[in-house]
Amino acid sequence: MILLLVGLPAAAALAAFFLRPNEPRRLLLLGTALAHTACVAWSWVRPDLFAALGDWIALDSLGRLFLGITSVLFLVVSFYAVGFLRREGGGRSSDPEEGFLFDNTPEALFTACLLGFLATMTLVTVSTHFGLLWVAIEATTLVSAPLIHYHRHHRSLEATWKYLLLCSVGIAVALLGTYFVAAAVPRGSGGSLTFRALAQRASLLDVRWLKAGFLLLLVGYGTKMGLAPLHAWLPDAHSEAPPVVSALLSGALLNCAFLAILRILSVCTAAGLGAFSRQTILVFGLVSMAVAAGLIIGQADFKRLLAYSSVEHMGILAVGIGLGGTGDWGSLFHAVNHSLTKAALFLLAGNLLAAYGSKKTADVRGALRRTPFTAVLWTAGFFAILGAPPFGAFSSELAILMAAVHSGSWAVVVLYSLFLAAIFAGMVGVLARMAQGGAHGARTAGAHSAALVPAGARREGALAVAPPLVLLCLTLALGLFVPGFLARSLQQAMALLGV
Amino acid sequence: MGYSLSLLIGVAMLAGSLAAGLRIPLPGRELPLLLVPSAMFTALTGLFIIVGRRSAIVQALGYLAMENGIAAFGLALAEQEPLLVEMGTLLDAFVAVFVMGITIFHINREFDHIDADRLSSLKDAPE
Repeated sequence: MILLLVGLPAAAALAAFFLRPNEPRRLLLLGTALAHTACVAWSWVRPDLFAALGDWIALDSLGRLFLGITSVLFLVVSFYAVGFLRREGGGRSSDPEEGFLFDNTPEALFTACLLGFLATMTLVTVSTHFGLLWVAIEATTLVSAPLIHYHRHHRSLEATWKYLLLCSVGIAVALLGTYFVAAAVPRGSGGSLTFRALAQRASLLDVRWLKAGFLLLLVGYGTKMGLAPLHAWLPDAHSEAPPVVSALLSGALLNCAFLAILRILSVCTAAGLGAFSRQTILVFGLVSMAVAAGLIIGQADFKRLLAYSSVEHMGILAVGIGLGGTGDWGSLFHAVNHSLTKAALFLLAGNLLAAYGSKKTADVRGALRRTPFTAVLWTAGFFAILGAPPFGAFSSELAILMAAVHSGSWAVVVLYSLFLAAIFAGMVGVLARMAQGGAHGARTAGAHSAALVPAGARREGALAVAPPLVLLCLTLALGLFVPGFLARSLQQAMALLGV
Repeated sequence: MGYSLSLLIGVAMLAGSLAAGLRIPLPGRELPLLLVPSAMFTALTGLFIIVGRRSAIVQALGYLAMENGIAAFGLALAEQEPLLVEMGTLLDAFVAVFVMGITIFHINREFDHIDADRLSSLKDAPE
């Protein structure tokens, strides 16, 4: 059964690559996403059916949580993708910002990579061996590079190259870290590199090698997760990728790297290095929040704004894990909320880009009149991502703040609230101008884009508005109450992290 | 970065990895004396090439050298790694170079050069 989770999207990817006509291929994408989500839901209801396969592949509670996020997100995003491909798929199109013509990646290749992306991310969540985990995470990079290069022009090419090189080098560092962890296992103890075997033999591990291995893994997977000094690829890739891909990168891929860091953390905790590793993660988290705050204030490009907001939220996740206790709960719950909200925002950003033909916040004026549904959801999404009360992110960010207060480190409390407040102020300022704005601004923007964007592209289709609406409703529901199965799963995942 | 400076840095890295690599304790493992220093030096060289060279294709070569060095480390350190996982690692490195090659092909076609330093149009413009 567990092989089905990975095999289904992988087989569908292969089929999509060879399927000629467009509409059946789009249906295949939807069908695979639906079947995958159904399988994942089944694994939440009946975990016993998804038994481990050998030593390397198994679904534990931590993996199941992240697999759930990924699968639900992919399902919702694939509906948007069908609308997006009908609107912009294939052929030539003109660049809304600079006006030149460019080709799109053939739709078959794009769909195949999208499904392959789902398969590799699923493999990340089900692998229980550090070597296999590395293989899966590197595979996600390779499969997603063509996705970023969907619009074949010079900006997306630059973003793709940076993404490919920085992430590959980062992950190569993680491979070195994996070997260091292997070196920590004493020879002849028969231990393998599975998480469970390492945790069971934790007292036998050589602490110096493990410490070095942890730092290398944190740097390596931290590059992929977008933690601050290593985030250089993230804003470029997120701003140039098509909305579907940005949403998946931010909502699902960053989480996969986070999961990898949690895996090594649980081994370190078992070996008595818990305090050291959590403190290191905490420092990375605070630095990420600081860098993001500095770049969000006065950001002129709304897709880059969202990308830096992802850096901020990865920082929040790291701070929560760094604090431990309630922070663990807050962090895992925040991963769910952030994924849902940020994916919705990236999809809406795609609608705004299609309507206005510009990624500049200064060009988007009076969105409430022009694209009313998108603008209302965009406003709601901004408040959700900023952690305003009725949404889920509020309770998770509050839980992390409580953990900071309980830990008694006031420096963390002050810095954490300061960065959150600064980002709140910066993003609300941008939002107000985008949603309202003067009539004059709206008119010039209209004249600007009417010349470049085909008339049909400006209507807000149901497939462009419904998916973000669903995602925002989900995060709103999580803010109002946490369903029992999710609460149980969060508790079990916390238990795996150790204290 | 000039060639003579690169050579000097290379010599310094060689000395550094010999000095450090010979001191790393590996209890219970019978290894050739120079395996760890040479692995270290190869990985550092790769990293240096990626940072210090402009051409995209040379950067891809640097990635290969770095991956080679790390794989040599793996030979020394991780004898309990199962064969299948080892194969997966190698397959990934292979596909990575393949994907990089395709990207370089596109860069060459789009810009008529493969100078990664001049890929710098994406940045945070002030409002």
